[in-house]
Amino acid sequence: MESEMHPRPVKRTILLAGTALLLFLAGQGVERLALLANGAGYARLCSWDCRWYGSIVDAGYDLEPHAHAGGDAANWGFFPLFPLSARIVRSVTGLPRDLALVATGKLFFLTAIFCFILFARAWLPECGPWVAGSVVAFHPYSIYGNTGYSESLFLTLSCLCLYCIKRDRYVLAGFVGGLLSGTRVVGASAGLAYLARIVRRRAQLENPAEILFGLCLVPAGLAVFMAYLHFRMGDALAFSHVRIAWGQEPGNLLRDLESVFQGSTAAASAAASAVVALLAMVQLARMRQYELLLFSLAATGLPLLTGLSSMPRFVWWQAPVLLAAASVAARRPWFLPLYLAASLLVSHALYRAWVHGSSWVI
Amino acid sequence: MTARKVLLLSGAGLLLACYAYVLYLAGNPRVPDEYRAYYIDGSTAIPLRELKRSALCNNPYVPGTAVGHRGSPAAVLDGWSVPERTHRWSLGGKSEIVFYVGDAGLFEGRLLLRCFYFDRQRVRVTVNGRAIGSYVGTGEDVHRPAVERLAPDRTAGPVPAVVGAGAEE
Repeated sequence: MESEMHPRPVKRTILLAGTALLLFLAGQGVERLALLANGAGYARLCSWDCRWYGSIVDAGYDLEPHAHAGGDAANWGFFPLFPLSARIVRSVTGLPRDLALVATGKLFFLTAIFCFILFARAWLPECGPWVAGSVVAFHPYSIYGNTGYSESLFLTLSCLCLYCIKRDRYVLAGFVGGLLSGTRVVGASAGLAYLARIVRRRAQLENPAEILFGLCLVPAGLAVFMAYLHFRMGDALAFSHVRIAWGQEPGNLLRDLESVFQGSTAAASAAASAVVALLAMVQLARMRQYELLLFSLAATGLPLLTGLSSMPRFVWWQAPVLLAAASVAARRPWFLPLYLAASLLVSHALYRAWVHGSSWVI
Repeated sequence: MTARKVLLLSGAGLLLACYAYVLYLAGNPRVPDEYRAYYIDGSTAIPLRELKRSALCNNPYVPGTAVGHRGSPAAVLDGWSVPERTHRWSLGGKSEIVFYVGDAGLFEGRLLLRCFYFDRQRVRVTVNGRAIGSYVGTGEDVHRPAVERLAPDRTAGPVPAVVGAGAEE
């Protein structure tokens, strides 16, 4: 009787999962072609930040800085949830460390596509699952979901958190938000979306204790990491202080903007992503999705304070930015083919640069 | 007030207390002076490597003490990757182990290199900038540079002493 009463949601979820899986496999096919075109295998995918995550998987967080020309770099800026997951994947599968990191990233890429479809259904019901899934599976910077980075885990958790917020499941949203803030520092932006939702729904709120508890859970991941850093190496804010080793200091934005006009590929790519974020925020404001707008504002503005560095990763793996793209794709039939074609071109250039060790793709 | 509500409010209060404690920890770091100066106060822009090298003078190397690949307060490893489980990779063309010998007459020893080489690499070994050996390594191999004995006169020089190895091809 129970199953007869609820057959449709289960069937629908299976269909959505199947859609996500097919899109993921298609994306993997495209990646395989990019690797073949560049004469590289999967072993080449784990480089740059993936190696930093690898150092955490192997030996945990550094006790003192040791890397880069100034000897001032350490792995403190890399949040713990992704390397912890990779460690589990490595122990379960027996894969070598680098491949375990790449596999973990890919696993979360699959879950990110599925969770984005759910998130889009909640926030943008007129957007079909194929359109929503395609926007994620083939987005221009999808390379970061395939190379042992934490971006795909971040997208998975932010979609889940924002989905729960939309469905008014506050404790669950807070729990997922806690995991999110343990994945990247900008994960704490979920707290702003949560607050905006409470303000919007203030007339209908029924259980303030539940809402308060959920809100308090959001920064839990960040707080646990900070406490751990303090007892491990003495500085709870080391994740922020160590950014100096990557040249990410407050006030760098003007210097980076200057680089854009001097023809730097990295700065141009980062500036283009910042413009995309701005356009997405305008679109979110037009859609009156203020919760998502606040999330995006914080998740873009916080890294922007220290310059344009890594901006594509901060922008293109944000659920609200991708939702803004999906909203255009749902209304304008010409947009999706154009988006996919542009994505393929950018993706090809990124894989080429990645395989050949160009540092502008970091 | 229901039990569930009490539980939720207590949980929220506990979390807020924990966050207050974490904020207290963040405001009271337990770090060396050079760390504070470089990362927190920004009162020096001298790269940490130089600060660490000068700090070695307060912590001279004691002959016979093992310095593992994860480092030691008595040595600075420059030009190396992050430490892995059993080793660390050299990076770029030059990798150095820097330590302060103090009295050069106390230091005498042999240099034994056990390395894994990518394909075929020529390695030049120097002490305080003076070449003491050169060889071509392939695969996983053990090498003794041509001059095995590090006589006191070879380590005597400007402190700190620097043992360098550079892959040239």
